Amino acid sequence: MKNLMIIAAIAVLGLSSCKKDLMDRVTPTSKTQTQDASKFAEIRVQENFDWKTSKEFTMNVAGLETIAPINSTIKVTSDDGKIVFYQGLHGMNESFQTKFMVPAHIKGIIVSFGSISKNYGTLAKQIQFNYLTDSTAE
Amino acid sequence: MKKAILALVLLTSLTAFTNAQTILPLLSAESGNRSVEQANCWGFGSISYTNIAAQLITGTTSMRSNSPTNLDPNACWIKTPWIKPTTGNITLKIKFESTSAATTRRIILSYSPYDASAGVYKEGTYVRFDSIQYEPSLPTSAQSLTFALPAAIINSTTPYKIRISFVGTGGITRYNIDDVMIPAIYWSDPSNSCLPIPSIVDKDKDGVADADDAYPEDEERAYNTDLVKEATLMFEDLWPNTGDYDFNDLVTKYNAVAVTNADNNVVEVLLNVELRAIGASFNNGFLMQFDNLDAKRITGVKGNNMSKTEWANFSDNGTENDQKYANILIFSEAFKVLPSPGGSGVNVNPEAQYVNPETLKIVISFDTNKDNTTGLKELALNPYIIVNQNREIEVHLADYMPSSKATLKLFGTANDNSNLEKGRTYRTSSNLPFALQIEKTAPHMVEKQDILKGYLKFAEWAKSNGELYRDWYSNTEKGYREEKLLYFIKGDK
Repeated sequence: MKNLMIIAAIAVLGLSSCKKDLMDRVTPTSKTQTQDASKFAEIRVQENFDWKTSKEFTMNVAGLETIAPINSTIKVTSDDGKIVFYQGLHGMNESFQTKFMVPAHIKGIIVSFGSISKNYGTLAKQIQFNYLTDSTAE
Repeated sequence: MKKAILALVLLTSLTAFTNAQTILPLLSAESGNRSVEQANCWGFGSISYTNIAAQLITGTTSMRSNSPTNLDPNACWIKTPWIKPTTGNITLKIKFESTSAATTRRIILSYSPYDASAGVYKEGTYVRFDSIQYEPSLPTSAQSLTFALPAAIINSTTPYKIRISFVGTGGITRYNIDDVMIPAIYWSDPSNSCLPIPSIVDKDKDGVADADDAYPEDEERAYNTDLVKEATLMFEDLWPNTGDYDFNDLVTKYNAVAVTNADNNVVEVLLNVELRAIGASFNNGFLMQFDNLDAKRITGVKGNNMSKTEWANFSDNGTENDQKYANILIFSEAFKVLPSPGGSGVNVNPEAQYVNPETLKIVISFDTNKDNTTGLKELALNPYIIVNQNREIEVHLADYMPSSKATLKLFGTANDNSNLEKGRTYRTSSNLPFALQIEKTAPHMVEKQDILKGYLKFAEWAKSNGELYRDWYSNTEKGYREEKLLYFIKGDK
């Protein structure tokens, strides 16, 4: 009998209108966190949990005094080159800071200035870029 | 006037590429960091920097050779950047670290012409043009040396490198070196592998080389930067009450590109907004707030869908009036953009008729006049819906601030647990959001299916504070999705 009642209840729910109204409200649950929350309302997260699937990066560029003025494009991309997070024309002697958002699924960032190119991971939210490189060492 | 300013900027910015009249400075090592000189295209072979008092010649840093073992000029050297030698003499200072412990010490000077066919460094065959030899007893006090530049390379149109080699046989006595001076015009480009300064092609003469310029024939535009490459926005619309958490009451996909000019100021923001699904009976609107940005920075808005605007009024520049920050209406009525084919909602029931999503291409123009410009880092997008044509009720992503038009009376009521003063908004007491943004094109939930049923790793991502399954929305691995509970727009994966 109990099973019949459950089946009947499911059938009624299934046939009900899909129209949403305030009846669809979910009463806040007092259920404590479980390892296998099956409903979104049951999830418990930290108070400051960031629901975004991206994070803000700050990039500091340390200018280098150059013998002659050198202007070129600083380009910040995802490691596959498909997303351009920043582009701008800058003097090599110019120090500046900028910010941009990076999707969580991106594993690496490339900062380039002409032939100078450096790779960064995405665990930290800061990039410190300078023009010093071993590429000119012989 | 603007063109005159642009021309002046251009002249300044292209100095290195066009006039290149910068004199090669003294190599004194006073930076204390050899990498600084290397970044400026000096080359060092077995030469280090030293600040040991006994090894100094002038200042606080000098250069030091290795212990020579042969007379091969390739063994130990300093090379200039690419230069165009002018008239005068090469001068430098040297001393030795010991008067003895040596058989022979020799300084050899050579030059190399630029050779486009010669390997990575494009150095042609080195031509020896002078040398000086020492035998014990070696001088341990500073010697000023002078060498004449060969006439063949003075004032030539070809760039050259000068190599000064510090070689020898027998013993371990090293050279100390300082203040290398070569009369020449600097002709290297550190941003191009230190090769000679190239001829930059810049058709619109905005200062950005065509190779980097997304708009090579438009001096007003130079770069495209992805503010948002692609994102799927999913809203619940019963705020301040929670709903069924299928997050499909309004589903949009969007991308945002900032177009900037050669001064790195924003010229336009190009917003492509695709309305994909409506899982609600409410006729919601969709807007974009530029947080902390004065609406006066914007000069125009095109391409939005204002089917019903009784609840809003707009300035001549297309932004909404009476707002603290710039607010752009994307569309005022979801059902006018994506009409229902009948039944409840649009594209949330796999059994119902499919409706092709509608894309709005919105162009937001920015002022580029001095004192009213906008930089990339000032652009902070805050997308939100207004609920069922009630301008006072907005739903934003968690911790995004409402616009000035939102009523504050509803915050902290029903299931909402916002604290505006602390920047906490649109969260329940369990910290749950009322909207989600996924940085990918992602399928949304079939009507009335809890999002955890479709995205199987979502709960673990959230409960781990974002540490686990950062790609919970992807389909890269088996077990991430229950696809029969997800609604796929045609072309989605």
